[in-house]
Amino acid sequence: MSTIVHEQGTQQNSEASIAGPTKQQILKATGVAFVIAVVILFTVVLPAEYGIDPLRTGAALGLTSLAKTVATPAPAAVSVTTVEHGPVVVEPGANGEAPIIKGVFVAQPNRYKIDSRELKLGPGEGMEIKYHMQAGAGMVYSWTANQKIQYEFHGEPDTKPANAGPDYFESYEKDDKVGITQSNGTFTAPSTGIEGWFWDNESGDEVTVKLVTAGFYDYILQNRDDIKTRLQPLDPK
Amino acid sequence: MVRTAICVLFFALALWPCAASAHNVSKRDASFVQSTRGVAIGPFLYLGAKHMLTGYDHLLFLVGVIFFLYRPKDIVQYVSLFTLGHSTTLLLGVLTGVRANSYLIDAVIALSVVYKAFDNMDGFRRFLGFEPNAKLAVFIFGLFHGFGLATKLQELVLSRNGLVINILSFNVGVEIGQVLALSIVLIGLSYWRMHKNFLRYALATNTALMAGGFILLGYQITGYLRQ
Repeated sequence: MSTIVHEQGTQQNSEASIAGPTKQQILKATGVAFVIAVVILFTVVLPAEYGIDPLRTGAALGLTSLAKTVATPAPAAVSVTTVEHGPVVVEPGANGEAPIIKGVFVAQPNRYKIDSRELKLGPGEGMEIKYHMQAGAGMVYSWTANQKIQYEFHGEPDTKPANAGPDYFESYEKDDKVGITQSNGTFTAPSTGIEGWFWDNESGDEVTVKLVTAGFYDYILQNRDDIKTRLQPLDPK
Repeated sequence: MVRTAICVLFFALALWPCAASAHNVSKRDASFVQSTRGVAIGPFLYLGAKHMLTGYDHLLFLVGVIFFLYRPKDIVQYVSLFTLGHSTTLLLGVLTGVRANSYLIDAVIALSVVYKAFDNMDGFRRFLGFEPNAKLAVFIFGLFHGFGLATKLQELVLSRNGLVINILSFNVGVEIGQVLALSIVLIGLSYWRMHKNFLRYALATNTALMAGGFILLGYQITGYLRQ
C-alpha cells in the first residue's frame, strides 16, 4: 500500500512541475537538443555509418573505416570459382585428318550416377532434393510437375564466404510467383557443394514432381519437413 | 493485492498482440529469414524479441511515452494503444504486400521521439495553447512503427509457406521483447523518480531524448538522400 501512496504523491508533484517550463525554456531546450544532435550527427554518426566526413573527425577517430566495412556487405561477388573448362581451340588436322577441337569436355575419373524419383507435395508443402558435386562437375536434369509449382534452383557451397551464415546459398533460377511445370537442362557446378531444387507447393492441391538426373555427384540430400536425409544415387547399367 | 494482480494480468494480456519496431533485421538473421521455408515458430519468436530489445528508436519512444506515466493503469492504456497500432500495420503490411521507403518510415519514427520529447516538455500546451490528444498520437505513431517493420520484413524474401504463423510468431516475440524492455525502463525510471531531483532534471532528460530523436532523424534522411 505504501507504494501507491508514494506514487500519488509524486504525481501531484509532477502536475505542479508540468506548469514549470516557460516558453523560453522550452525553446532553449529544443534548440540545445537540435544543436547537440547536429554536432553528434556530423562528427560521429555520419562518418561511422556512411563515410560522410565533412569535419574530418571521423578520420581522426578512425570511424570512417567502420563505414567502409559496413558499406560493402560480404556476400556480394564472392566464391569466384574457375571451372576447368579451357577455351575451345580448333586445330586444323594434319594430312587430311579431321580438325581437332580441344576444351569441349571435362573428363572425370569415375562413372556418373543416375537418379530418378517421384515426389508428392501436399498443399503448402515444400521440400528439397540436392546433389553433392565437385566444382566443375556436370549434371543433366529434367523435372516435370502435374501442375504449376514454385521452385528455386540453388546451390550451397561447402566452403561459405567469410561473414556468411550457415544458411548461405546461391540462387541459379527461381519462380516464387506463378510457378512452372517443367525444367530441363545441363548444369555445371560453380563450386563444390550441394546443388539442386527447392519446390514449394503453394496451391491447394497435391502436386507430383517427377525428377530425373544423371551426373557426377556422390550423394543425394533430401530435405523434407526440416529432416535431412542422405540418399544413395544409382549406378547406370 | 488483488488489484495488483489484476493490473499485472491486464498488462500482460494487453501487450500480447504487439508488433515490432522498425530497424534492421541484422544481416545474419536476414539470411535466416530468407532461407526459411515453412513454419518456424521458435526462431521467429526469438527474432521478434531480439528486434524489440535492440531497436533503439523504439526504446527511446517508449521512454518518452512512459516518462510522466505513474499509474499502472495509465501505462497499460498507453502501451496497449501503441501495441494495437503496431500490430495492425505489421500484419496488414506484410499480408497485403504494402510497403514504403524504409528510410522515410524510420524518419517518421525518429520524429515520433522528437514529438514525444517536446510533448513532455509541455511544448504543445505552451505554444499551441492546447495539448494534442496524447493517446491518439501514441496510437498513430504505433501504426508507423509497425509499418516500418512490415517494410523491413518484406525487403527480405519471405516464403508464403507458413507466412502467417511466422509473422504471428514474430509479433508475439516482439511482444515478449516489449515487456522485457518496458520492465527494464520502468525499473530504471522508478528508481530515478525516487530521487528528489527527478523533476528538476525532467526538462534536461527530455532534451537529451529529443537530441536522440534528431540524431536518428538526420541519420535516416541522409540514408534516404544517399540511396
